[in-house]
Formats: sequence, C-alpha cells, structure tokens
Amino acid sequence: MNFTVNCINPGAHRLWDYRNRMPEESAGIPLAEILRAANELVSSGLIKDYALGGALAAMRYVEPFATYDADIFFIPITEDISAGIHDIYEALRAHGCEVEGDHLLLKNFPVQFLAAHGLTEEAVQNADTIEYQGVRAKLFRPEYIIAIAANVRRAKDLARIQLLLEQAEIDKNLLESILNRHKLSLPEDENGNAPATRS
Amino acid sequence: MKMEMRQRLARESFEEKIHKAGQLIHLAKEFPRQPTCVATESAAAAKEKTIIYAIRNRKLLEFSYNSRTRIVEPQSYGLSKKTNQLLMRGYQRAGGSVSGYTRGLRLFDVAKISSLRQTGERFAKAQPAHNPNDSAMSKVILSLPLSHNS
Repeated sequence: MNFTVNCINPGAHRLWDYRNRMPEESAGIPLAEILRAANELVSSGLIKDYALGGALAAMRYVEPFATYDADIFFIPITEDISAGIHDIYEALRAHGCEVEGDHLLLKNFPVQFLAAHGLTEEAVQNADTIEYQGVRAKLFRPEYIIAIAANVRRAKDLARIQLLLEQAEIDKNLLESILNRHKLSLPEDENGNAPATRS
Repeated sequence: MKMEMRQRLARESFEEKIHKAGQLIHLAKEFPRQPTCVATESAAAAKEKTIIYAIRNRKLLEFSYNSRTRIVEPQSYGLSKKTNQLLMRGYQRAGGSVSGYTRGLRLFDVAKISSLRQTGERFAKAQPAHNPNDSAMSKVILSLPLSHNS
C-alpha cells in the first residue's frame, strides 16, 4: 500500500513538543553529526544524494531563529523508497539515531529524512556545497528554499519567504525560472504587489 | 536600527547562527509557558495522532462536530488552502449533519472536532471519488491511496 507521504517518519512533522526533547545540559543543534550521518548514507550507497533544507538551511542566509527539527532531503537509490528504508534506519541507528515512535532523534534533536521528488529533487541536485565544522555538506540554495515555501504556503513558509527576500542575496533570474517551471508564484503583499527583494 | 541589527545577524557565519539558534531553543525551553497552551497543544497532538493512525489503518472515526455525532471514514489530512488550518476529508457514513445530508464526502475543520475516538471498525478502501491531491488542501499530509491501488 502506498500512502501519499514523502517522509520516512511521517509523524515527525508537526505538533510534537520538541521543546521538551532538548537535552538539559545543552540545547545545541547537533548539525555536524546530522550532516555526518547523511554523508555516511551516501558513501555507503543507501541514498544517491542529499541536502539540508528547511529552517536550518534558510538560516545560512538570514538571521538566526529557533527551530525544532532538521530536514534532510534525500534522493533514493530506487524509485520505490520503501525498499531501502529499513537499511537507512539501521544505518542511522548505528550512527546514534534513536527511533522513538515516529521520530528520529540524533542527540535528542529531531531529524526528518524526506524523500526528494520534483522541486525538492531539483533543489538537492542544485544545492550548494558547504563545510560545517569540518564536515562537507550540501545545503539548499535560497532560491529553492523560497520556491519550496511558495509551494507549501503555511504561515511559517510565508514568513520564511519574506525573511529571505529581505535578508538574503537572491539570484532573481534563477528564482523566476524555478517559479515558472514549477508553476508557482510568490505571495503578494497586502497591497497586491509582488514582494520586494533586497536591493 | 532594528533592521540594521537583523541584517548584521544575517551576515554572521553559519556556525555562529546555528549556535545562536541553539540558544534560542534553550530560551524557549526555559521560558515559562501558560498551562492552558500546553493542554491545548497536547489535545491537538493527540487528535492528530488519532487521525493519522486511522488513515494509515483504515479505521472508522467517531467524533462530535457542530454539536452532532458523526461516523466517518477518514480519507485525507492536510492544510487548508484558504485558512492554512488543519483539515480532514472524510466520508461520513452515519450521524447527524447541519445540512441534513448525513452521508457523503465532506471536509472537517480539525479544530472543531471534539470527542474524537476510533470505533475499532475498519473500512475497506478509499471512496471512489477520493482524490489524494485534495483540491481544498495546500498541503496533503497524509492520504489514502486510490481505491484501485489498495
């Protein structure tokens, strides 16, 4: 049976009170460990590629803000993503990830591994390569973060678009091309105008 | 001034920003929270869990909606295009209705659902008119497969 869910751990997406999951001694985000775990999935051939997306990726381009999970978008080895899920879980467990109910936790920080397709797959393929605390990693470009947020359009996505347009250096031609190809549009401001980008 | 400060924060190194985000999370954890909010969030989380479980396992739901008890086969769960609030699309099998039509596919505003429980009974498959890409939803979180796939 195929459910319309694009996530290995679909329950990890919303109302879980992440605040109570943070370790007492440090509320740090174990991003280097998360990226290392994702790199190992690639090197062991369990996924084709990946990139950090969501709020943590956006934070590379804008001011810091609180977020309660990490989103890793991955390109599966085969089209049938369920085929490799067990091995991916086992590899993540070996890396210190705990599975609690529907949640994957790395050092008590929730991590979502989401199968990329369509726009998110393109975002992975065109992601920037960065080095974070000595770990090489891939991370979504701001233009793709905006396009994905314009597609999802929850309140926090609209706020993210505004923040990126205000604070990040955006390649306007690239953004327009992505939006056009995926038939997306940016939300209009209260006057019905297209939002202004950083000048 | 405030804008300049925010721009300056945005230009800091990625590592510094992640460190600051960690501090913000710590602050959020330490910050006193109103007990009513905790109760509301827990209730919403429990409701979501019940709906997701019911869709995954094709379990009938019983709940109160607009002061009437409904028996519903949940089909999809997602965010409303119009209001960005959580919605459930379900086939109402039995129970009351404001419109008078007691059977049929309809949208339920999850916030207005109360006394939600599973009846324990399973239903066979999605309704023939079920659309996994529900047009009322900007994002479908979970949906039944089309009936010919199940």
